[in-house]
Amino acid sequence: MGNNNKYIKLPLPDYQEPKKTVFTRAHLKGVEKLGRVVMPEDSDFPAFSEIGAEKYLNRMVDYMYEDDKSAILIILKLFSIMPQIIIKWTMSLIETGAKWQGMLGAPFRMLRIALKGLIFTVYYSDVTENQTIHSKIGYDAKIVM
Amino acid sequence: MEKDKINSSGYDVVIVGSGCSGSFVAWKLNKAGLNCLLLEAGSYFHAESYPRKELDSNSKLYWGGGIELNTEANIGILRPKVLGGGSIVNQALLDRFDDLAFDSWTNESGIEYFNQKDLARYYDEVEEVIASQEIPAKFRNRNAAIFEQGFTNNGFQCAPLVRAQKDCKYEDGNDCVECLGGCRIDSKQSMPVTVLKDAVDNGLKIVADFEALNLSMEKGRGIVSGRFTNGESGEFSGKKIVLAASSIGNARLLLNSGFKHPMIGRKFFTHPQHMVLALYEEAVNSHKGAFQGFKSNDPNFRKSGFKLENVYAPPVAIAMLLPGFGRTHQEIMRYMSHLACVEVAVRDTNPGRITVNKAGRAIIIKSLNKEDRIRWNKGLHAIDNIFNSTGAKRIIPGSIPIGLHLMGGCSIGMDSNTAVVDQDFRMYENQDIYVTDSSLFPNAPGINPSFTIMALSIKASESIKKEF
Repeated sequence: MGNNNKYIKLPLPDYQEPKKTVFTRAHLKGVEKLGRVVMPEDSDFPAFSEIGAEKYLNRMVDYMYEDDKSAILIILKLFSIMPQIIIKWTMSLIETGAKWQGMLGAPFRMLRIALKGLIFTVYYSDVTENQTIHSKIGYDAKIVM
Repeated sequence: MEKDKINSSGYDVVIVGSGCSGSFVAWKLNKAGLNCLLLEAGSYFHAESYPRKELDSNSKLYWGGGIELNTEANIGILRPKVLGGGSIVNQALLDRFDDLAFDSWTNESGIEYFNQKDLARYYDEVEEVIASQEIPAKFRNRNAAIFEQGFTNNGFQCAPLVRAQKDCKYEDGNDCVECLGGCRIDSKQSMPVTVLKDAVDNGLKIVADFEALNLSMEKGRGIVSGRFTNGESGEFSGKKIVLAASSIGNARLLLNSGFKHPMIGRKFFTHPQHMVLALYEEAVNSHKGAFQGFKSNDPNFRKSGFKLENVYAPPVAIAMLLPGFGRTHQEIMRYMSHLACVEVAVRDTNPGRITVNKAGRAIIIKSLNKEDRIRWNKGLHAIDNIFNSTGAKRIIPGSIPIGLHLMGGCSIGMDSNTAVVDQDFRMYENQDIYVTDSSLFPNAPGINPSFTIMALSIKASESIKKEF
């Protein structure tokens, strides 16, 4: 290949970005409120609101299937107008319903994965510049290149 | 090799899917002098461009933004979408199938060559191009030590894992868990750094970021049409078509293209894997070093239809496995470095089904039957014993099993009524279309499939080559 680089690189173009999802103010408010319930402020953990999730949401949501994405955006819009205590109650209901067997529990399990996934993925990826979350949980995996 | 510099027609073979199977088929046929095109829905990444954050790895390397679900939403399906497929994101385990697996395949399919002797030369050929090693004992971490100790305490048998890797530079402090998002030092023997590199050097054409949406056969030519990630449509044709886009991808493409064989999408298996975490007083640091070193090697486990492995995952995945949210969740997550993990993988017996909805999206119908649950519970019981005998303070079963060995959906067999492809890997419905990946598996072998996928793909390439 005539490639003197340290690592193998095939002569292919770099990856293509998918279409950007547009988040409204209501969507972002819904994310913030959900984040406060799923990852509340704690003496060890930075609050979800400190992360500035709006900067990173596209890196996840843009890659979802269209119908999943639409469903999540509707839920976030609903959360934006719900009192936080109701969101907390909803999440508790989802955790309970997720334990039900078969198709009965399926919608709850889908919601659990979607909503916790949204918050945990942004939070635990430690995407912020100061990167404090991994150090708080003792995660220091590395590759020396 | 931009898409506009690549011919859309005139190929001998168009291969859909670039995982272990598609890449090996492309490599072999290219080496035999055939003009091949390899199509991949995912993007191309290399050591210096793999995503660094879990957020980006999940989004950019898997279908659906990270995870797909079965209709009951109780199995999380992880389906790679990247040039190199599973070889980029898997844990690179290499295991030959045993007699139990092959005998059950012969019984199910009626095909006689499913045995260790007849397939040995294909496994050997894979080993000539894919380096492998056991994790050296001095680089195993405490999670592995707990696994080994737990096995000893309970009289179970385990064995070191053999992984497709070389020169991981553990002595520099490298942590393999990072390579689940693509190996950044080219140690993992993924397709782009092994057979695809050779094939591209030899003239193989590759188009990434192209999702195949329709397949038709016209005047002795196969036409694959689809869409690029940027929304443009495209079409590629060849004399023969090879489907290697995984169980879900192959079934979806065939069903959306109007193929009628009643067994397309059926006999789908996943080896449902249930990760169980355990909290220890002392730090375990399961993420450090060679994070996976052992597997169960116990004849009783094999007979009972499950296996155990010592595994781990990065923080987002661990967080998703934990129960609850808020304070309940944080109370465990703050001690993430004290967590050990063992996984049970079930040799599932209840066949699932892949179908498509009106929009053409794959629907995954898969559940566990009574026998699968018995196997699962036996495995979970063994894990409890391992953790309890090694001083765990608390055992935390993962909240959702995962399926990442996606098998069946285009099963192979001698009977055209019960199988989709014949013993020469050709579809009964159209003899110019071949299926070469794990979607041809007639049932769940209960063993990591990637080594056998590569071996069978070499065998399939011989059948395809005979047609030219």
